[in-house]
Amino acid sequence: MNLLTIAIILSIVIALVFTFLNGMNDAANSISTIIATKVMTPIQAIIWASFWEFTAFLIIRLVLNQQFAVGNTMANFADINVINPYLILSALIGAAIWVAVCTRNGMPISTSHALIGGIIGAAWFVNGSNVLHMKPIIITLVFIVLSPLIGLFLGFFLECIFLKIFKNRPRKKVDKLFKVLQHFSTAAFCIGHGSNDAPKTMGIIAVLMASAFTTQGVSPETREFIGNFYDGSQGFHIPDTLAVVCYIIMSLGILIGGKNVIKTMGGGLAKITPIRGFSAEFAGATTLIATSFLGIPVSTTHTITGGVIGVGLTDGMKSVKWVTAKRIVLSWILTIPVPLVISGLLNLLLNLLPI
Amino acid sequence: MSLNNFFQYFVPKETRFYPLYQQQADYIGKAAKVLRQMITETDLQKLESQKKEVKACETAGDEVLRVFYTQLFNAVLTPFEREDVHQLAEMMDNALDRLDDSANIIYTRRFTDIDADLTVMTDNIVFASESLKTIMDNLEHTDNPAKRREIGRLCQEIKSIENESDELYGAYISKLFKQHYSLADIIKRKDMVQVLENTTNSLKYISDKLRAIISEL
Repeated sequence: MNLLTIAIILSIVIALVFTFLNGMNDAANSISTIIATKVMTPIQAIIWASFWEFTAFLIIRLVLNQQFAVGNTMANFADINVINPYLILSALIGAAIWVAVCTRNGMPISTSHALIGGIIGAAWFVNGSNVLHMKPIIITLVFIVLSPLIGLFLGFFLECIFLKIFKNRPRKKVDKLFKVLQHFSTAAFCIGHGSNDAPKTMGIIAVLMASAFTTQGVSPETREFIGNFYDGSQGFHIPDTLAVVCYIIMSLGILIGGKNVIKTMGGGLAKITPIRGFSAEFAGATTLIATSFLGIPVSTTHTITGGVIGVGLTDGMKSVKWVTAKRIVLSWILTIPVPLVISGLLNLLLNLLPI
Repeated sequence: MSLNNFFQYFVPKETRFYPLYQQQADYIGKAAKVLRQMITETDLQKLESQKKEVKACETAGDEVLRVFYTQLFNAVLTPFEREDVHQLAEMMDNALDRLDDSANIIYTRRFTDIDADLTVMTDNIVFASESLKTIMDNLEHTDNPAKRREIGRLCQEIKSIENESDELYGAYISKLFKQHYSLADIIKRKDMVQVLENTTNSLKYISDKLRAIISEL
């Protein structure tokens, strides 16, 4: 087994671990409001979220017969001809190191943005800035800032509209109605998460598999093995088998990550009414689903946080926990540049090795 | 226009609780004035009818609180934190209860040579309740900076009044043991000053709560 083959296998494993961790970390985002309003028990909510995450695959592929636009974007930050297994491995390791450092120090971070920084850095440092596709990079950077703001404004105005409509109705009946509606908003949010987050690593694995057929030095055995899952003659595409695997792993992440969510819920959550829960989730889901179909990778954590801040704003600026908002801004500043540099240097180093 | 005002412009307003607070403040003001008359009243019959007047205010206040609970239970939107809306209404009702206690004590422990200190304490209750009434009339307009400042100033005024009553209370207690009162007289005067002090405190708690509410808006 040569080093290239090892790099390919290692990259696929790391990418799948990323998918799993993404499910684990985002389990709380998907189900926190529905548990806070006591519509579902934590266990029911975890199962509900896992089911709808997987349903995103069925909706995109079978119902809408669409491609995973976010996955395609992830593979399109740099010229496909310069992407090779070392570049992907550097990008993944760079992102993983930064995620680990930040998690250990309690710093806010978006895994998605770390991965994007990793790919850009690894391609740029070795091949120069000419190989970078600036359009998707700029759109992604703009939406890093825009997605929480869209969530915020949508959440705020939805809450205002609902308050206006239901202001004079009995609270018990209104709560009951919105508790029912929360089932749909949670499902929509999970579909949004499934359509934006799972395709991120899917795109990375697919471009890695495609590079196995174009990179010199990959052994015929490795190509034959990858050929079982990926048709190398078709050029870049995301095979459904890969998509199913990624969705299953992400759903498993949510199921297992749910244990931590139960702990968090035991510690008490911020007060959230059914109207607020619905408005925040609906805002998050709309942003996620819209950006997914436009092929823009965004952070689900930032989107739902924007939605929650938005509904909180109806009580005035002082009622919002601005520490969380500051953390998001800090994350904007740090998340992409650091993995970009780490991955870039790592790829430079790998390219200097006599392999 | 500040960012907060921009967002608040779109938020529907819930105003149904303000008239209830105003009603409670009206009853507190009315009961305080009657209490002031009671402290110097020597005619037993008049005293009894005044006691009943205070009791009527307290009973009317209970009814307002009942309406409050029903409205709050059904309200989707509240002008500030739901718990605060509830606590403030309870504190207002508590002040009415303390006024009723005071009226009972003045009636049952009455004595002829009422000290000036006790009269000043009831005056303070009247002043504080008047400030409270003005606060409640302005509470709906906290988005207006001038009204907001006025509420803050009146809350501070209630606090100063309570401080003055605190000092009077301490001095009066120490004086009680220096004078040659009978044991029964000491108990009567102690009960009276104590209940007036409690009533002033209950008004100060309301102003503290209001300050906390305003600072969060």
